[in-house]
Amino acid sequence: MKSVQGSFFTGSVTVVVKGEHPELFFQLCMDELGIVVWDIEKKTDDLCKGNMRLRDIKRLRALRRGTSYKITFEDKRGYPFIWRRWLKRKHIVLATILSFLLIYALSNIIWSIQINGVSSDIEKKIIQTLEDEDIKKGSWMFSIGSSSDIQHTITQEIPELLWVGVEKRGTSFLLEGVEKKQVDKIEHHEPRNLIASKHGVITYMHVSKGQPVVGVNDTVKKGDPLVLGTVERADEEDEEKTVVAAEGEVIAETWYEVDVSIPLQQQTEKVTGNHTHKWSLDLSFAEIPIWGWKEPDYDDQFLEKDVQPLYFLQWKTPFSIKKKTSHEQNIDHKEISKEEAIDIGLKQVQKDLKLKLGPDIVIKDDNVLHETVENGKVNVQMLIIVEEDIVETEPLLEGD
Amino acid sequence: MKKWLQRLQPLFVKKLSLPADLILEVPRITVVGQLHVYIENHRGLRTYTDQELTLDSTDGMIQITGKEFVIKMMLPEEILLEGTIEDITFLTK
Repeated sequence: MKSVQGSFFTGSVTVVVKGEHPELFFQLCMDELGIVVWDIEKKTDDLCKGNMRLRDIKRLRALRRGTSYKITFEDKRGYPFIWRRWLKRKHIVLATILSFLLIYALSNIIWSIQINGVSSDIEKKIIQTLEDEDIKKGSWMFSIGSSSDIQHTITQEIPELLWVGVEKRGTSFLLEGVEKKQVDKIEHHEPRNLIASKHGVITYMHVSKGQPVVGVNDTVKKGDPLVLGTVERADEEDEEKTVVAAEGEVIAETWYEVDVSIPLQQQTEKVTGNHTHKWSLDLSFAEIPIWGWKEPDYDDQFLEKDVQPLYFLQWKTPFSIKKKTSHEQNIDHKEISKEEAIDIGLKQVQKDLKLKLGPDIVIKDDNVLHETVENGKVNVQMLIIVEEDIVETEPLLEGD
Repeated sequence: MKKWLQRLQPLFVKKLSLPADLILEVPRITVVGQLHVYIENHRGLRTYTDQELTLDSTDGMIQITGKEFVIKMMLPEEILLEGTIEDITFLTK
């Protein structure tokens, strides 16, 4: 069926031939002009139908003139006819496409920003922050960062906010805020003892309630009582015991043995500050660059990708705007000495300890106990002396 | 000269076992069940109705009878007929 193939693109016409022996007309077409005919059907004795390509029709007319056949055209199929029909309704088609594009564009604009759960002055501050970030009514949805980024900036900018939730819902922007409230300190009324949470030597004590059982420079073990909640009142004639919730601060020197290993080969990545942006439209099957064609000539770079999906009304479309930022960076390889390595290790250990024990601790002293160099690494064993609060509470059980 | 060639052609076919339809200008007919008839190398359409198709060939005519005939495709010297084929007859001059 070679001739039928591709007839959709060239267009085909059903030709109805009327006359004596109409089938012979098709034979004539073939002999004279080499026209290909398919699906020939004889309806009645003097009527025959057949399909031809559109481009053969013009030549057919000249041939018909010399014969007694009558020719009419019936069915017109194929792309040229569809195209012609479309052209006739050009303005409707154009209007449809334009309106879709308009809806598409409008779907990606912020129409409203709603802020819930905060007082009006905080709300003003949030709006101000959003405006600084270029988020306001009428901004493009894809030009703004991700929800978590916005959350981060808002909580950074406004310290009064404890938490903020950002949600993009269709064309509106919903923010849910929770303000920080000054919570009154809850007094502990249950009777309790204070005990040591760690092994250490006490350097400072301040007891506001309860009876201390240890003093400064005493060595305590983990679990040793520091301040008792049972207070004996000696001034009374009868020995009477009352129970209170012991309260106080006990600072002690504690020791930590830490092992660290630091490589002697240090690699540092430094961003130079040079960067280029590239914008592109991602159609999910292809990417069309919009802005930024220049390929940066950085020796070393790291790539940051930011993808903003495009919406049609509230539905996500498979298209998105992609922003690629390449930052130039220099990678330094540095050989450091053993002393420098130990110094780095020490700083690292101090940082780790502060992270683990809280920011209030004081590092009193550090001693390197043992050090070895192995496989390009320095393994150091250190003793760190720290001053920290070792108070732990222990409820006083009745009947004790 | 021409007659001499014509006498020589069957000899070629028999002795050199060349395909007959290429050397002799005779039609080649391919039949697929009762559904299709494919005729190559004919010399033109003579009559066609939905029950009969007659084609000219070099030495006579080919008559195909049946029911519900549709010429699926018509190319110079090639024809594809569709329908219910009942009979194929060679009419010699």
